[in-house]
Amino acid sequence: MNEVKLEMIECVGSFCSNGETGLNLLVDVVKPAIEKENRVIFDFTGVRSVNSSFSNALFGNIIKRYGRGVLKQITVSNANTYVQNEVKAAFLMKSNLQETVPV
Amino acid sequence: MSETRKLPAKIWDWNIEDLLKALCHPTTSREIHIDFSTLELCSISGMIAILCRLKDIHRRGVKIFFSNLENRSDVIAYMQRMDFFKQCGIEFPEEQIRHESRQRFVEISEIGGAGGRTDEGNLAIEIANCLVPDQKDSCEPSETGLWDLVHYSISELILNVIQHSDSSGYVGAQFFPQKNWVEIAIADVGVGIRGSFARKGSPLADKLTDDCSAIDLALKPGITCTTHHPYGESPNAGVGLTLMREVALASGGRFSLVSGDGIHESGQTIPKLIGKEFCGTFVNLVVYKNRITNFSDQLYAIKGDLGMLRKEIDLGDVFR
Repeated sequence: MNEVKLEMIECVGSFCSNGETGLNLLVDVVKPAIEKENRVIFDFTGVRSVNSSFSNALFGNIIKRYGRGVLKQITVSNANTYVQNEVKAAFLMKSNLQETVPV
Repeated sequence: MSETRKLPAKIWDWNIEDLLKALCHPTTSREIHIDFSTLELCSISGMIAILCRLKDIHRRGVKIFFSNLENRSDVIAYMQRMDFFKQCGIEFPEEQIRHESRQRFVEISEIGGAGGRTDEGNLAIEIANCLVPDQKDSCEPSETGLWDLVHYSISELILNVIQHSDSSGYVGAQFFPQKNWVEIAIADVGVGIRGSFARKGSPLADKLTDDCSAIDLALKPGITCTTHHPYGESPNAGVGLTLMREVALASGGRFSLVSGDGIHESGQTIPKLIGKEFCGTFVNLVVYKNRITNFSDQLYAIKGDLGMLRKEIDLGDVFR
């Protein structure tokens, strides 16, 4: 499995609050990488916080679209506890887990 | 033909109904005089609500005049310092020296639409830095609870206005040191919550028969108007308003929301403005500073308490 590493501070800055930004990253970068069966590493070095809008748009939609199995292709690194809580919540949100959209 | 609308003596978030009843009823007049003669106190929530009502009245071609400003020097000076009159397009000399806003309040900003700010992230940082300057430089979430809460709330609420209202609005905030609470008010002159469900083509729109049911639906976790996106995914999960309410209540504070003829406060949504609807959406958040420690932990716990999370799923290998 090849790796695609995303420096999140370069992609979205130190405060990620906008869902549209998360969605654009998902569509432009993450989705193609996952579909090529790469491992995607989200490196949050330097990122102070993310909002629920951003984390749901990016991480919630990943699991909603590809199902739980996609988690083996995802790594979140160097995230502080704030970022970890938001990413965890997006992955675990019931509304994201209920329906899996066929790829 | 002209008419006069008298502002109530004291305008807080908990009696916003009195203000809206005075300002929201429809008019056929070509001129409206806003009478400040009995106004003694106006909170940030009051100013934001008044601004939105005046903007709505003005866009209907009605001329607006302010009367009896001269006798209310203290409250007028305060409203002037908050840039209330500047946002109305009225500039007059200030008698007081402009003191530093740091740690006390944030002047009112216009958001969305053609003339307002849309950089919600930057505006949220500016407001959080102003209200909670002592926490802004720390990287430890446990030391930045209130800063994080203000930043999170402002950015989520501004995004709501931009995504849902199709119009502009205003935001302002104040810290009350003696009461130890922070008040954040934001409102728009857009289509309102019920209108947003309809305009975004939500399949839920047909089930909404009134503004109160639309408000209650919007406050349910996982309900969003923005379900239709070119790529099939939604840019939000419909949790913003729900979480804002729970964050405020968890701190011992208050949450109020007005849209159309419905007012949500103290956990109830009641059609208090029948025949006098508020065109747009008004949200006010009061948070007690002392109860906010580690905001992200508190937010995560709230999501769990609301039954939004399936915690049995193991995410052990995802984080490193």
